[in-house]
Amino acid sequence: MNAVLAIAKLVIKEIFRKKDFYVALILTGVILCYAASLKFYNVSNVVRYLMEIGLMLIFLFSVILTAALAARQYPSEIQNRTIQVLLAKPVSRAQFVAGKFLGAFFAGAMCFVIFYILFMAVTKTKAEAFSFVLAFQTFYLFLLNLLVLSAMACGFSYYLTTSANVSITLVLYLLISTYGPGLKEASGKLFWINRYLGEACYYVLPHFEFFDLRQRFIHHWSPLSANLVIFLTLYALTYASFFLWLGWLKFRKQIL
Amino acid sequence: MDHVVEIKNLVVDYHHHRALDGLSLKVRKGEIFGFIGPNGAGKTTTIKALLGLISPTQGEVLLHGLPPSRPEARAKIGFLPEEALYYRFLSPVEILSFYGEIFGMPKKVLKGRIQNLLSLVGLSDVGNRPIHTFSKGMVQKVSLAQALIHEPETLILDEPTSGLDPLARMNLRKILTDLKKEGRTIFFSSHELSEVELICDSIAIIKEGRLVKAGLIHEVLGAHKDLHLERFFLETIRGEGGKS
Repeated sequence: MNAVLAIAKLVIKEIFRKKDFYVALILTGVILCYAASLKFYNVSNVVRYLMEIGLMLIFLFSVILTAALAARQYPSEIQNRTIQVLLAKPVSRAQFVAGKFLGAFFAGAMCFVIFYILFMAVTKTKAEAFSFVLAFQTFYLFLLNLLVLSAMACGFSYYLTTSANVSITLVLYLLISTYGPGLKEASGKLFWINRYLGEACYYVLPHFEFFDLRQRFIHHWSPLSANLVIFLTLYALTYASFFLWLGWLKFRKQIL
Repeated sequence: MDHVVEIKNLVVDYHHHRALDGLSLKVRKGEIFGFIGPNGAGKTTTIKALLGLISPTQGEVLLHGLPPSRPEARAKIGFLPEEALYYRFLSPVEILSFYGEIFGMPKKVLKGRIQNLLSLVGLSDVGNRPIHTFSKGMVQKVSLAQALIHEPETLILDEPTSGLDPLARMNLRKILTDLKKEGRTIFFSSHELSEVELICDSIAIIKEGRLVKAGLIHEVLGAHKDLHLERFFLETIRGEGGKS
């Protein structure tokens, strides 16, 4: 356990030592402050719209930072030859995979927490009414989203280069988030092989859109039931475990 | 246990290339063992097999009586790679803390140990400077410090003098002989035959993945005591080349 925690802490340290996070934070701050300043002129619909953009930016920045961090962990260990030093110590390959994943997930989650606090603070100062239950559910489900995403990027990192991994992970994430809900319906209209492929994608790929409660939150819809939240937690854990197993499968016998 | 490293009939194949071909070696407890051979002879592959970084095609490797795949076996060794860049966003103190945490060392003990090691390798003044500002020789000193962080019983060093200036080499020699006096075993590969000759008790010479000579240094040199190791090594390698 010492090894897993030490590796995870190292990954978390990495994200706060690089400029990417601070650039994203400054951009988010500027956009949120701009959105907040518009309220001053009593244009509340515009504020809601800009808050939606602000929340989308927070999600997007957290996704990009997490995917990039998770994707570069294993390749940079190989490139810098630090993996040999690390695995020469009492660290098993499974601990390495677990430590890198936990580090990437918690680093992404910490970035998201900072962005989210900023967002909530701005929302609160402008006296926008919101449901705390929905605010918490939006926050929690997005953490589950980052859990699956970081496991996916970590798992793929044992097969792909950093740039290929970041591109594939982000493209898959954006495609599924955008077209995931309509994929089954759209596949039904396709020719047979494409239909089966489309349906296979619908059932096999993780539905990131399940974890996105932005619309509910911004437009004050009703919160999710506890059972649904539990189901989504198990859904995220299943996919995260699958992607980590996929990575470990390649890494366990890898010549270093 | 007399032998801390035992390699029995080790064969390692990379795709269609045989890197090690039936290598057998034993390293006694408390000795400095020099592992030498020309480029591509299989020295680094042997070290990787010793650390469990590659699985042998055939044969057996034991570290302190255990296969290197077992973390308990690796807990007793310190490894210095030929070249590693480490985590560029960290300072030597942070790097050593990270490796110390892996061994579950208490923070207070670790802090003292880090100060001692930085002083030992001559990096006390730059302990908090990011490692990306370091020269190759300075990184090599950090590398030595990380190998010693948990006071290992056995050290495995791959080209430890690489990138070091003459003064640093002399310091390294002193560190290694002091470690030997403490009863630690040192296994190291090197191209610096003068270093090997100065500090090693035993040597092994390999070529094309096969063992050519091994034993106590004075036994290996035998009737050629008047020769320097470098000349003996060249004659041995060329002789073996002639045979094959």
